[in-house]
Amino acid sequence: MSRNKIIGAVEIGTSKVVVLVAELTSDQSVNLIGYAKKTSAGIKKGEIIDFSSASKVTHAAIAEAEKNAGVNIDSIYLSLTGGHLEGTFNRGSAHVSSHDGRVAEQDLTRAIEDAKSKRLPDKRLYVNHIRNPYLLDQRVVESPVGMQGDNLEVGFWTVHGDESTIGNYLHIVNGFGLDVDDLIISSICSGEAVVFPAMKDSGALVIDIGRGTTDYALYRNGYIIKTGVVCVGGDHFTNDLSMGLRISPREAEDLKKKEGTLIEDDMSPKAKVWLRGDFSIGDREILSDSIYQILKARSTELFNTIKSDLGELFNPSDIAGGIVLTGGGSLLRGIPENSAEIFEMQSELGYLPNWVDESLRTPENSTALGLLLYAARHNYSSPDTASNRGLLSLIRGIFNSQKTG
Amino acid sequence: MTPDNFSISNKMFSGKSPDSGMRVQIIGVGGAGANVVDCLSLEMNSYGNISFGVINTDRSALENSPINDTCLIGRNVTRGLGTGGEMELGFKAADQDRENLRNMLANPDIVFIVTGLGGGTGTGAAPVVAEVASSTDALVISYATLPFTFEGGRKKTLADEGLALLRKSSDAVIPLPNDILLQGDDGDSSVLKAFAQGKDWVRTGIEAILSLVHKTGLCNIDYSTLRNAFVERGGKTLFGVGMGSGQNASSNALESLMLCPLLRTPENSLKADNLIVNITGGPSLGMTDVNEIMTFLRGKLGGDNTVFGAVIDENCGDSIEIFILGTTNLNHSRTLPTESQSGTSPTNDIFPASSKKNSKARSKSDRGQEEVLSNTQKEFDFLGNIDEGRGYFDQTDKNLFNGEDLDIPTYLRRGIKISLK
Repeated sequence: MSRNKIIGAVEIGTSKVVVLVAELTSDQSVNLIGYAKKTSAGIKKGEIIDFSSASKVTHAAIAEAEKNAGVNIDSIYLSLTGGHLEGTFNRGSAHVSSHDGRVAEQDLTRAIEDAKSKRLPDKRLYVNHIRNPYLLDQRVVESPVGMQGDNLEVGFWTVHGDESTIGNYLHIVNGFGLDVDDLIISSICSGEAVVFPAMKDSGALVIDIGRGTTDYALYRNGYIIKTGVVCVGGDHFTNDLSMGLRISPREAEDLKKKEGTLIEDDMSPKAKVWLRGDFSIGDREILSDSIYQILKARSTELFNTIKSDLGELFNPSDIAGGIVLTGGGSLLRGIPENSAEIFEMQSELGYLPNWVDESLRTPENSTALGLLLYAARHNYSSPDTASNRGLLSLIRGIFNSQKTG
Repeated sequence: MTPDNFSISNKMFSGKSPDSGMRVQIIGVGGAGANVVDCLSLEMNSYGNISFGVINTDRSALENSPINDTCLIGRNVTRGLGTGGEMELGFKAADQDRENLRNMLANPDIVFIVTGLGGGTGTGAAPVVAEVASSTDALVISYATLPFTFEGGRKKTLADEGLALLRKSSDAVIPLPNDILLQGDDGDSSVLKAFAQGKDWVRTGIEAILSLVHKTGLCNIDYSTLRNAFVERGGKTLFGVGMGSGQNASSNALESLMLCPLLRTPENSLKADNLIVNITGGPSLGMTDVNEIMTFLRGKLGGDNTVFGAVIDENCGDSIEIFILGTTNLNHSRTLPTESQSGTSPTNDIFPASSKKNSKARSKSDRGQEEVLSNTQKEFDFLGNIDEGRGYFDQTDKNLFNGEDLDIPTYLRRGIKISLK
């Protein structure tokens, strides 16, 4: 029997670089054997602004995770975000060619090729093609091969990104001497982690509020029909506080974590909190209401931006599973309430499956964990026929890494 | 500030005496600018040697002005009916009437141009007026209000364009974003209030500069020193006023200065290469206060080239007013003052604020063209991005969604007033 494959899931985020190392065994289970997390450098709004700093941190994280796991990684899966990503919906079709009118494998291939054949503008690269259900003579079918019909259609939600931006990410990993097996946009990863199959079927919107970007994916009938990136994240909340209250970025970050809330305190409108609370020179009192006003304005705008981005696709009756919030930014008090208010529908914090070790089960890790799930599925079945179901059963909760970072 | 610096500044006090007859002109350009200058002409008539003037493309607006010295520009272009928000017309109007403008701006020493950007006349004509004023070798300081976000993207684009032009033709431009004016200190935040606030900022700014060279005090500076403080054109300015009174007047004034909404970027991005400070206080204002204030400001704001004055005003009682005006030099990578009290923020260590990083961030654009573009690009970036109030995101690309830059704090764009006390 060949050696088990060792894969690394790498998220190079605005706040941190996370590396998960997993072993894919021949009996189709996934063992999480290594983990490393490092504070990012050289990334703003999900994009590399300082290549060498970003590179250094990432290499350190991969090295640490490998050391931690005690094995070398064979290949890397990388999550991707940033304002350069764009998506379109492409359709392709093919006439069923066999004489008996039954769909054959090559009809599928032709329909898919047709859908994927759209030329991109210069300097753009395809990142992900997310398949939507097949339509055989306008009827939705899961697997059309062998069925009777005339016209086969297939749609893809296609995400593409800037060539050199993507190149930079690949160069970082290549610089460590590893190849990138696949790139997956962050919103899909987060969805993998926190949206359960039943919810995907009934329709759900996952919103991952990160440090530099907010990534979302909309599921309908089990398929992703739209993804998007809004280049607003926790850093914006902090910057707003810093500017609005004329305090340093660090003070603003601490204040956000300690006192930040999106829930209005009607009882004591004049309540104040100490900026540092350590009696140091320059410490001053800040109105809780001002903190609330600044954060509420930002959060409301963020959700409204997503809502207007979704446009007509946002239809509460199609999203019975509700809104699932994750990412470090979702930890701000009152985020689910604000989301519920703006989208006028049920919004909850996503939780990670409990096979994940408790120390890793935080919203910040959902992208990296989802990426690992995606990678595992990718390895165990061909990506195109993979169903969204049953993946969790593949995974065994064996986790034995030292916790670091 | 060290005693050495004091002696230097004192030596400089040798040129024109306070009543040397320095000629000052305050010129309003366009509707918004004219309105402000109309008010100022009524409020500031106690200053003997200031003359007021208004320039407009709209004849009826000029006829209603209380100011005698008016100049209707672009008769052939707009027939005296205004520009209807067309910047191009504003420019043409002023361009055709350069001769008239030159007659109006007859040999002043300081010209303050007041205008509102985002419309036609102010946006198009003010840069020309500044250019003409500069050609007379006067010190040209422009105050420009910027439109509210809710006025829409077109106005904002126009205003940005006008601001970049105005920066090139003025020694210093003080942008007064209406969004920020709403953040003023008193409870009421109506739009009218915001305009009144804008006028007050302009007035404070003009008075402080004049008092630097006019009033007698502990340390005065003369016109040529003031003139030399404006080293380069086109850069970002820093503008703020703070007031304090009581026993700890100087530290109260500093605290209020640091909360000044116009110094709205976080501490670590406050910086200036050339800094003008004017301190006004009652008879009790002493050199220790001045020293304390200057040490604090130089630590906070940098300012390799600092000019300051301290003025005694009997009417001030125990209160102190601090005014600062700073300019930055273009294409000058600068090290920030290192004394930050609560430890440097992590962002500082990682991104040592420089334009080098910026070009790196851009390296994703066409590498072949980069070499050729780099110079113009740099300047364009700088002009495009400054004074936007983007704080931490100052050096990054704009984050546009429906014409709004999402990096600018939401509360500012939505006109939500944040109280600090």
